[in-house]
Amino acid sequence: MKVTFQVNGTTVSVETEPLTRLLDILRAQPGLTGTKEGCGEGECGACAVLLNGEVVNSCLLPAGSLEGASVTTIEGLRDTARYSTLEDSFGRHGGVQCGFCTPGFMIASAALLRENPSPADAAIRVALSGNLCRCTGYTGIIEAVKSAGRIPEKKQ
Amino acid sequence: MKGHRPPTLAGALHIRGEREVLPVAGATDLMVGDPAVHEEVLFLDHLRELREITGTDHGMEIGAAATLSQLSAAPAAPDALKAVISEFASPAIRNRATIAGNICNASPAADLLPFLYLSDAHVVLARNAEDREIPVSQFVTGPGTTLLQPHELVTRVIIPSSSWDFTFYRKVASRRSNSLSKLSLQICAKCTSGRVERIAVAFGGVAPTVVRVPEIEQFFVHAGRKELAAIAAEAAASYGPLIVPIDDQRSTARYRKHTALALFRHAAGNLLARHLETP
Repeated sequence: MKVTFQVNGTTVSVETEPLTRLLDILRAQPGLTGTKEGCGEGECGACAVLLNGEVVNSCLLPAGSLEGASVTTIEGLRDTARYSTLEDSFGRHGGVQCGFCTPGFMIASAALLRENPSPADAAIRVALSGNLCRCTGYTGIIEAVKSAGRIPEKKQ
Repeated sequence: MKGHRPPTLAGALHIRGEREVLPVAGATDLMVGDPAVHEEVLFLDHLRELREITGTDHGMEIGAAATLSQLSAAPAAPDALKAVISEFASPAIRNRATIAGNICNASPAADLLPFLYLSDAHVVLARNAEDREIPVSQFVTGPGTTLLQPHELVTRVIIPSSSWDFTFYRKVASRRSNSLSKLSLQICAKCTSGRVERIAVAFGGVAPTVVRVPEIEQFFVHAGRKELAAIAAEAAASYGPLIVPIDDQRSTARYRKHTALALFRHAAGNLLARHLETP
């Protein structure tokens, strides 16, 4: 089936099988390999993207659900003030080691901060509960999001 | 594979009546495994008609394709339901998974089913212009099987209002988030003047379908604080033969049965007794 949707503000039109994963569609686009495949079954969050502003796992999202949707990947987030804040705080708090899970964590963090600009620990833990990191032990990531939340977002 | 994405519910019902299609909404279960075995799929997640949630005088009506995030945020959602959703998978999955998907997938470990059984929820099934309504407890017939007919779609779920003053929910899983349930137990009760007026108990993950037995719930009617431990023990003995879990990759039959009954005795005996003490 033919599916037309927006990725990071650009219209994408693909002829695809109805249950092709958004993850595969994205990674086949030039320059959009920031979205990672970890488990491929909705457990790890490495493939997280924003679908119409909400965090979803792109490995579980079939092409047939994409018509008219607006998708933001880590590459689309990169030009925002939110990204700069998160990048800085993840770095300062040791929220990154190998980096494979980081795009997913940043997407989930951005979704949280949009709803709740100064989240407490508990809210951060809930928001990041669908993301796995095998390096950092999570403390650095939670501190990073908390610190990013305290900083008022600059105008883009 | 062919995909259909009709613009209206009427269009979806028409396709469902004419062709062998798999209805798909959140797809969070479908996409795990090998979804390519299906020849035709019917997408329903974009249909606004199927996503509305309304509070009524008698409870709430939920569009079949309402997501769990939507449901949790709905003003009419009871706290006992929100408690279940807060432990359902992860935010990313709750943003896609739908109420009818959890029902129709009919997993013995489905998180929403114990709540839907104990609140006497119904599903509304549509076939062209005709609707029929069935209690969720009858609709689900076994692991992965329901009474859904080839030409039908679930369009709504109706949850009658309730006035529970005691609620208990425990999902036993490997970790607190994003874990499939080994077993679960939900108990809701209404108490007046220090006695139990009504109780509803549902076990998930311990039998082919949710275990709810109104006859055993009757043991508790009019019970006071001091009688509860004995009644809970008697009720646990009656549930015993009905708790018939399996060994699988998540847990063992022995652990599931032991834990389900121990949780039940604790919640229906101790916690409910403590609740009756508080004025």
